[in-house]
Amino acid sequence: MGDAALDKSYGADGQLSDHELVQRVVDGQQEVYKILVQRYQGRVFAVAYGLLRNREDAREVAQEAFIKAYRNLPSFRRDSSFYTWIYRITVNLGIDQRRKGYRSRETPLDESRLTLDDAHRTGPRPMPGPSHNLARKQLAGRIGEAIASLPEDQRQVVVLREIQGLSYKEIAETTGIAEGTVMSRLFYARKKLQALLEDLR
Amino acid sequence: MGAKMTPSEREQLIQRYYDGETIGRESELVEEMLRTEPEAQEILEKLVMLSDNIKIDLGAAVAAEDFSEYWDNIQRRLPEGPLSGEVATVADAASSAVVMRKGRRMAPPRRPWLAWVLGPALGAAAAALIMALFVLPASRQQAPAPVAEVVAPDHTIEIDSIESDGPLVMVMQENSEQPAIIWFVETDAETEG
Repeated sequence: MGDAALDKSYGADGQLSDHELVQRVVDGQQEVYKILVQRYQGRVFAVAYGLLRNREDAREVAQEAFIKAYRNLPSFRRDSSFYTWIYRITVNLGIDQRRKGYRSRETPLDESRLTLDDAHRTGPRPMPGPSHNLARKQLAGRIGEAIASLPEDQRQVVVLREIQGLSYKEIAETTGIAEGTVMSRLFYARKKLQALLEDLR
Repeated sequence: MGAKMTPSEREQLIQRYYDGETIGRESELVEEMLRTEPEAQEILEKLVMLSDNIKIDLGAAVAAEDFSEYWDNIQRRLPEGPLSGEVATVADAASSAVVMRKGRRMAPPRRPWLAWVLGPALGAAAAALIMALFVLPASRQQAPAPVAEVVAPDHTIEIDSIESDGPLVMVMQENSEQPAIIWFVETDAETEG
């Protein structure tokens, strides 16, 4: 099925719920999985990048997360949401990747489009215009350094909270820790980040 | 209530308010603090600014990523044919059947919630059925869970571990809200029930 037909049948704009799409994939419509991938690829990549701070590693983990999720779709429990499930897989793969030794601690950010609205984008980012903002690049770099300096467990909760706005309960489900622990890790992570970025105010 | 809190507790309460995690009258308390205490307002403003900054960082990373080949890369590596799952194979969801891969071991109980004993009252037929269907070797008492997953028409039950001493079977599962009674059958290829 081509992209246009797929979009028309199932709605690339999210007309079908995640659970409905999952069921169709489990029923044998593999091409429907593309909608789920495109729905979450940006955010899954962001989670991976937030943990790993390396573009190549994050890309590898993000794609692997979707492959692993696909293979395990029959065991996906419908009482949880697909996105917390795929984030959990991503976090676990990210942790494994870090243990294996990833390429570098940081990849400089050299972009000026600073939004999270690219989850559905499949083409390359448009070239920055003449208003390309060096200050924004430096700002992103500073923030990236600060996030990278957090302990891994704190970084997880910060990334999951700020990227997707997951609730404490959802973060707890994703990371396997108690909600109270989510709150305290988030609290101390934010305090540390605020201290590191104090001069940006 | 607010006056009795330590500065750290106040900050944590404001954080929970910002995250939409307050309960009961906590929201009213925080809103009162925000109306009357400049320090509380400053805490909230810092949280907003930090959140904006983090979105700048990760938003930049996402914006710079080319997703055009993601699906193709993923699709190339997807297994062909019907999905069976890696943890367990669902043999027949309609009959709530379970199939476990050969070699899975039975783990000692971690969080027992359901233990049922088949006594004489169940009759000779039930006892004979159990004895015939399921005998777990002693060597199957040490390896890690989960050991299987059951898919029923209305819900999925992930089984953490299974313990058996002959005809006595204990089933532990992840979700204790879903009681289950499951029969297991040992076959040459796999264990099913």
